[in-house]
Amino acid sequence: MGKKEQLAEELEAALLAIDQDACRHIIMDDMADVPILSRIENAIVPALASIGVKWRNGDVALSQVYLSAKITDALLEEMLSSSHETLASRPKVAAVCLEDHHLLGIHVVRMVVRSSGYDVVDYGRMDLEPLVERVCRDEVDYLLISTLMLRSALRVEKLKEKLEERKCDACLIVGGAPFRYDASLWRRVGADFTSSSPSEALEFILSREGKR
Amino acid sequence: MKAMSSMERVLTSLQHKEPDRVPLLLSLTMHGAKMQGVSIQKYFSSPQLMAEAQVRMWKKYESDFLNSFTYSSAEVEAFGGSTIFYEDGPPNSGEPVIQALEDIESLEPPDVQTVKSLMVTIEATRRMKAAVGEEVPILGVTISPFSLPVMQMGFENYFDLLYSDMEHFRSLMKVNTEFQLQYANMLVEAGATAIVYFDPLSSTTIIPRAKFLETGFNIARDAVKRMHGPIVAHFASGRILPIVDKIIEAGFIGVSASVDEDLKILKKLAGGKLTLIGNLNGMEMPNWTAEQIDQNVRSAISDGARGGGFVLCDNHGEIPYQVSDETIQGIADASRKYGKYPLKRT
Ligand code: B12
Repeated sequence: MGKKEQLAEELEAALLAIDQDACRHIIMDDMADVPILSRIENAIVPALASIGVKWRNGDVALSQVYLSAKITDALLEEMLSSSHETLASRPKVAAVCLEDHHLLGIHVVRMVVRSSGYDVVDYGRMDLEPLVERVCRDEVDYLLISTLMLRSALRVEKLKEKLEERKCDACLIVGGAPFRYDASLWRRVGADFTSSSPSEALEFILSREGKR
Repeated sequence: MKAMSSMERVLTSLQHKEPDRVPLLLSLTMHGAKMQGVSIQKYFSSPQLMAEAQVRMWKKYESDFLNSFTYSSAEVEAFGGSTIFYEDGPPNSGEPVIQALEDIESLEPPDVQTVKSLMVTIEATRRMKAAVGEEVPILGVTISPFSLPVMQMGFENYFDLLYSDMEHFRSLMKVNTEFQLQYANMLVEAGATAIVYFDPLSSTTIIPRAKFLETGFNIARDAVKRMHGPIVAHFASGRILPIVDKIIEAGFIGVSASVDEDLKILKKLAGGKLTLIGNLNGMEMPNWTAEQIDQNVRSAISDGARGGGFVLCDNHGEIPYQVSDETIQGIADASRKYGKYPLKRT
């Protein structure tokens, strides 16, 4: 195993153990002479991606997914605050909790995507009409949408319709429990992608950007 | 075999014996409002409308339970919380009532008698009992002391508390446990045959086994000891395979089964000890074709029902509002078609 892989694995283990100090030690001390973007790419991205897959398979719990995203998000802030590097702000990505009152999902998604080096505009919780306005105005390229209730998930169809009326072609990436339990729901509501792992949403964005 | 009453059917299955057919639990809550032609909010404020609809739906679909559950947020209303109602979906809890840790220090267990939303459920339970007596089991649902804080303080704050401040956590559990116990026992007194202890936070979808052993497990075991009547553990479609041994140890008589897990494996681990309740995927139901209904019902029965100890049910404990009458009827029909004991070998 190469040094990079080893650090990613050590970070993953420390994250799953919710051992903040060990995580900090790996990113800030062991990788002190590595550029920030490489620390993200070589350690944080693979660790979070692996945790996302493990949650889907039932091998780790949501508390570990949430706390590991929170730890890496804080480390990212710490790294950025002492450097001139910034997060990539293109393509423009926004995150929203659609007509629902459950923000945990979208917060995890935002923290994971940010910790992977991409800025995410936080829309918080929004109703449909103001959201359409905002997405058009901000010229969002990718909208990350989280819902926990089925009724909110079904509202994505209306959102898509309204955005099309406005000739806004933001790419819609959906997630949350309703999309996990009904594997074809994302297609039926007209979304472009879904995953239970926020890291995979980012992979989707990057591969689509690569094809442009 | 002579047809059994719903109560006989369910009790036989709970004793891990085969009744005349597989008992059917249709978790219908909001559908009662549809049937009565009123809004969901109005419906959940009327014990009379609820009791009537529960009995009518039981007769219509020939299912085996009545259910007095309204919505989870009702229990947070007891602590001063608010509820947001929708025309076409379940009510949700509003802003968390615990905004700071100090709020936990001054928290007292509310008196259920003074909580309007919960007294609706108590009164609805009484009316259901008066209508069906010993013929049909009535389920009373309470949110576990351990899962309630997600709505009391927000999910993120609760995770943070669970992982960093066991002292405040324990204070909160003390208050919630007193409250939940009071409410559960009132439900039983009002006529609930069994209590469904809703505890999805303890599922390994949400916390790892080790954390569960430190927290949710002790709370559940104590609650089971102090609650009157038989108790079923429900995890709202969360995973449980890694903690089944502990669910048995805590003293539950039954447990929910999720589509996320293999019912055959669950049956192997829990058969003869816990009645399995599940595991139809409610989220997919709105789009099920007649063939899918047949296939899903048949496979749940064939994986879980042999030897009794099984109740056919959706895996969340609430069928979504979007599921049509035809689909519900189809599930009920298929449960009778494939659920006659002795089961055919498949
Ligand atoms: C724990 C739980 C509870 C707890 C806490 C819920 C809460 N958050 O408030 C309690 C007991 C309080 C509860 C109550 C209720 N619940 Co509940 N509950 C669950 C359970 C087990 C987990 C829910 C949860 O919060 N998960 C945390 C979030 C973060 O997980 P997630 O949405 O899957 O998100 C992950 C990924 O999907 C991904 N992701 C999320 N968003 C996005 C977005 C993008 C773009 C991407 C890429 C990825 C992504 O990232 C996250 C993790 O990394 C689920 C079933 C399950 N197995 O998931 C039911 C579930 C959410 N509950 C449900 C319901 C209906 C309810 C109630 C309305 C029941 C009622 N009638 O009262 C209430 C509402 C509570 C409220 N707040 O008012 C339904 C909702 C669907 C539906 N039928 O409409 C579910 C799905 C159960 C089911 N199978 O049907 N519940």
